[in-house]
Amino acid sequence: MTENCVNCHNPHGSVNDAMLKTRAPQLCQQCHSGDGHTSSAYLGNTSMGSSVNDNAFTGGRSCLNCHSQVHGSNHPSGKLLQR
Amino acid sequence: MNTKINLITLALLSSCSFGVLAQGYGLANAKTDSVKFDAWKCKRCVVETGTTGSISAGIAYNSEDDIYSANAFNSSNEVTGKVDADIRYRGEKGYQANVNAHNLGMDNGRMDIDVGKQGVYNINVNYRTFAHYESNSALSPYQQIGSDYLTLPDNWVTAGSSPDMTMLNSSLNPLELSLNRDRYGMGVEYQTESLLTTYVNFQREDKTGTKTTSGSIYNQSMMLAEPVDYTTDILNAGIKLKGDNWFTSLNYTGSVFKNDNSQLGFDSAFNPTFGAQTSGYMSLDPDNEAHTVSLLGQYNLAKTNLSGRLLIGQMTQDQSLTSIGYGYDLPAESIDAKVDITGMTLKATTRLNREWRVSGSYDYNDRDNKTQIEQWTQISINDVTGEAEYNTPYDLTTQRAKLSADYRISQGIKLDAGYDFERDERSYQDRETTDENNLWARVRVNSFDKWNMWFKGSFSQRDGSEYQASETSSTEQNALLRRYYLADRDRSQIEARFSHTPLTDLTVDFGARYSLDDYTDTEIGLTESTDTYYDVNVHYAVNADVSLNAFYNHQTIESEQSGSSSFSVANWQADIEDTIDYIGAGISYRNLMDSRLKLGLDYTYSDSDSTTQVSQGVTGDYGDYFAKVHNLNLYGEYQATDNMSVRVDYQMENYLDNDASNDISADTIWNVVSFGNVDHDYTAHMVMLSMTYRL
Repeated sequence: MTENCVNCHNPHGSVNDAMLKTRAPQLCQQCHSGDGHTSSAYLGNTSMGSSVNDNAFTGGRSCLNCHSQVHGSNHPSGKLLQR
Repeated sequence: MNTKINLITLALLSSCSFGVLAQGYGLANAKTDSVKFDAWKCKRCVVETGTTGSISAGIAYNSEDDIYSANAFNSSNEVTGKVDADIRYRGEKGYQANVNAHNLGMDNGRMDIDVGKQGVYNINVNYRTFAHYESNSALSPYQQIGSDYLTLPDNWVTAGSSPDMTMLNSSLNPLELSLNRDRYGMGVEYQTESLLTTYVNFQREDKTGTKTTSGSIYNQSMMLAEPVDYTTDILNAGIKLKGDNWFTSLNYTGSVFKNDNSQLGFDSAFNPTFGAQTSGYMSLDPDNEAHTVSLLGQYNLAKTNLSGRLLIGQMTQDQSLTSIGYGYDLPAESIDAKVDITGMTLKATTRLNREWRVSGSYDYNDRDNKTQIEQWTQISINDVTGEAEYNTPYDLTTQRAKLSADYRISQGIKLDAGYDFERDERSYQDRETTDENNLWARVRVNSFDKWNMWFKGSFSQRDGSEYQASETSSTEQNALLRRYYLADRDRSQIEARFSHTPLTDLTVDFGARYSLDDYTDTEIGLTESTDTYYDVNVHYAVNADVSLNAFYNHQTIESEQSGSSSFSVANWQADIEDTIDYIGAGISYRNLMDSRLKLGLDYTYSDSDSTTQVSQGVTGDYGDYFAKVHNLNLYGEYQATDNMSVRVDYQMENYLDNDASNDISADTIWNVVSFGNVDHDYTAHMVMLSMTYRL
């Protein structure tokens, strides 16, 4: 996460906001697979009634709704990138 | 005529600036004691003095409400003025000045002024502004936007979920999300008679605006307007020295970043939960500095070029940690971060004979993180005491070695091929060492009459030390996870380009490229990615006055990744397909109306789209996620008099985008207070009238 801008961004342009190579949550799930909500399958709109925009995992800013400090933070309790 | 004096005269006159000199006949070696410089008259080389160039001024009008259109029109104001200039002044004895301006007065404009004496010194003053507009319809109940503490209205009633916030809808106000940068710079360059040049440049950049962030307390989040008020100062200085076959320079670059805001605080819109927090604080980008010193050199022998660079640098950050709302003991007031950078590059190219040329290079870059490791107590709502974590000072060392050869098979057919090796060594990450071997080859064919083409193929393989999906992230990862920037990977690429001139006035260019990334050892994470691209461009000069051009590009990027919701083998899959289509055509028509009128028309259409599908038994998709833009530019320029021309520009932009996951209002998601729907859907027009005066 800390190495290089091109780990997540494509400087030559992308279909995604912020020139990300892949959108959240998929981009984050390519590197995070912990035992918990990181690894769940976020299906989006399905015929079973779930929607992409009715929950904080896929709607709004997705993972960044809570983990917004993706570029790091100067907070002593910043390990989860929330502060 | 005395031959010797003539040689000196010609040397002086033919290089109106100090130029490269031949050994022995160098100007520095000339015996000039008895030469009567005062009696010389420059007759052969006539230097035109005076001012030449052009200056133009324009005024533009656009009435679009959606501020996103300002990105295309360079202005968010309804009426805006601009100045362009391209002025050159040449005086006696080599004094000169240049003034260049482009769109000065608009939101993306610049100006450059150079004053100096040719071959002796130059003083430069420059200014540049650029802006990016995201939205002016993001909605927020927060007040004091732009400050470092966002408050909710006095009559706010907190609730457990956003639809139950009774004051939410009545408190929503639109806010502008945009960023503006103003850069001011000046520089001086001074060249001495011994061909030593020294320079110093300084630039200050002020970046202001508002951007999107989210604040969260436990499992509740609110989208917030983050204030941006940064200053970056960059100082650049150095000495350059050159000789007959060599060049060297010693350079220093330093940059200092300051943020006027060190943290962002906000009232919580939700009922307090664990820990009874009613407000939150998040850290904003801390002040920091970076300094580097580099030594560059180049040496040219008859058939060989050598060049190299040495670099040392240091980056530091010791801004006080954000401790408002943090109740635990701090082992230190600031992280006192320090990273040392060391770099070295060596390159050599040699021409063995008429057919063969060989190049090699080696690059070393080391990032040594010297930040002290301390134990930091994390605010936790699960335990009473909080969990302790250590900061991890990541180190990275990268080495690259390249070897390539060019072989001229025959006239017009050239083959080049090479081998590249890269080794990355990392600390505190899942994999200590990764190695990548890359083999490539290209054939260029220029021997056909109306055709030029080249073909390129490459294959690279990355592997490395043992992969341990360890505990260096805050929670343990699935052992089968392979992060794509560390994972074993086979990458294949092929590319071909053609240029065909069937008629002297008609050129057709087309090409295609395909690449495949196969993550061979990955079971959880990104497993495969393909990228297909092709394009065609046509240019036709119908006659001396009319030319046409048209183009079409297409790109498709497909990615596959797997995950596991059971913390074991893969049990879900995601497939993403991104497609981009870009098409355009233009025509320009000169010398109409007795050679006084020039007309032009350009049209482009761009459609970018992304489809995401996730399957776990059932398959779901992420809805419509696209951006479609039509742009039309029409202009007419009329030469009213010999020195003055008038121009009218008309621009149109039709913009439509959609992000299904943000087709929401502020309270659609129970635990998120969002900005609402910030999609764009507009057709904007701009008209500009400008006048150019030729000096």
